[in-house]
Amino acid sequence: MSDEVDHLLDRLARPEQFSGFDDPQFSTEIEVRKASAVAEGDESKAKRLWIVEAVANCQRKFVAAFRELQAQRFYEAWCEIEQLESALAGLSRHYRSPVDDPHRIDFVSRMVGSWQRLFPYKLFLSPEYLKKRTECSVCGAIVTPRSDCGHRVGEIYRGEACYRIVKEVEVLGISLVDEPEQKYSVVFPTDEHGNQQDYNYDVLKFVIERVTSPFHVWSAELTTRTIPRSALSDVLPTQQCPCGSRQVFGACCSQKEEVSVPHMQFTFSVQPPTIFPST
Amino acid sequence: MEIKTLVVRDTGHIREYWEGKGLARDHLGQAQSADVLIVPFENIREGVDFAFPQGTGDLYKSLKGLGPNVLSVEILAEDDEYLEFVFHAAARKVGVLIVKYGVAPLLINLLANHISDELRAKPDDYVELTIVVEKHDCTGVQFDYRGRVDGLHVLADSVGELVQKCTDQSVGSQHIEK
Repeated sequence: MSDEVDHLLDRLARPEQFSGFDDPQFSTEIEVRKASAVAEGDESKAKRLWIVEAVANCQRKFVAAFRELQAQRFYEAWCEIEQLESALAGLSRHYRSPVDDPHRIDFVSRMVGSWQRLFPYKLFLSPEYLKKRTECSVCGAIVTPRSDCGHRVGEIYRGEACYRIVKEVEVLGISLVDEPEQKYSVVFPTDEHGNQQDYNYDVLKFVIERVTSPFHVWSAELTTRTIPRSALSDVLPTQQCPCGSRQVFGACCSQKEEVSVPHMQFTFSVQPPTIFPST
Repeated sequence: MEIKTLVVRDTGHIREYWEGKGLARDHLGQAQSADVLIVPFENIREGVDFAFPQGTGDLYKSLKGLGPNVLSVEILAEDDEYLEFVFHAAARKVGVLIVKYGVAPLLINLLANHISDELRAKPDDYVELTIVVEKHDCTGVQFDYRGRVDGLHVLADSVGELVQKCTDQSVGSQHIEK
């Protein structure tokens, strides 16, 4: 039998048609009901309301990231997607999409990876550090292996997810990595005058110009295509080889007659618009 | 990242090795007898003698919560000497666990559940863990797994083979004694 929390979750169904997630009144309604459930000591109801809140948050972030992409604010979109990925991980402990995925959470989870793969960011700054003092977000107790406040990370208490607050750290170093712990710290190179050199976002632009809604399905397949070496006459021997080997061109494919280069093939489930903005 | 590697080798880094390190001074008895002993990384960075990978405390609590009838577990650190090291890379480092051979298959299953349920790792996420299996003859075999979460069955199979050999040899030696 469905109740008021089910009805609230129902209002988040089919976000491509109904943007309940973007309605401030809806957010306020959940907050008020959650506060009431907490005041009544109804942990189960508070947790279910947290789930409603988290579903709306994921939908909101997904749409926000798409809007950032449309506005060609690519780094902002990247960070939004990173936060979305984290929000989805938190939600996945407590929510399983029904088969028809009414809230499109499974869809959003798939698309996070699809969008991330289009970004040109390959190098990140990532810190290494020692955590010396950590507290529980729910009760403030200092967390150690042998002390146990009973609160588990990711579990919902009084309508809020439990996490750890690191109060004291010792940073040991910062490394350049290609698979970072967190993806915010993208390396933006500068030229000799200190001017920031932006990345080439052509692939992202290609897709975002052809997808008019975040909920339209598209897919990318990474293949290769062969091009004559003459088409690479502007590549210097000291530059990275276009074949993707990470070697320099002079030591890799410069003597070949034909070079196999990475190629992405896109499929759009909804016909892209016939007129694109100029990029 | 490399798809999957499993390195198996003999090791002297079993329980006796750690006894002389001066760690967990108030829990040495439990550390000696526990089915599973979680030990730190040594000298991972200059000035850091011992540290556990992020989340080890939660892993310890999770295994401890199963109760001694299922598995006895200890961690080689007092609270005041426990430090968590947060690595720069996205790989999920589970750490180093010394385990008695009889419960090694159970431990691998529990770790696989922990990785997917608690760490929320996806099948294609990268995981690193080291299991030191203490054999029936008190020697150790170290399994270093570096690879995708969905490749953990390779570790389970390899540990399972060793456990089967230990069990057969242990039973065999009992027959000889008779």
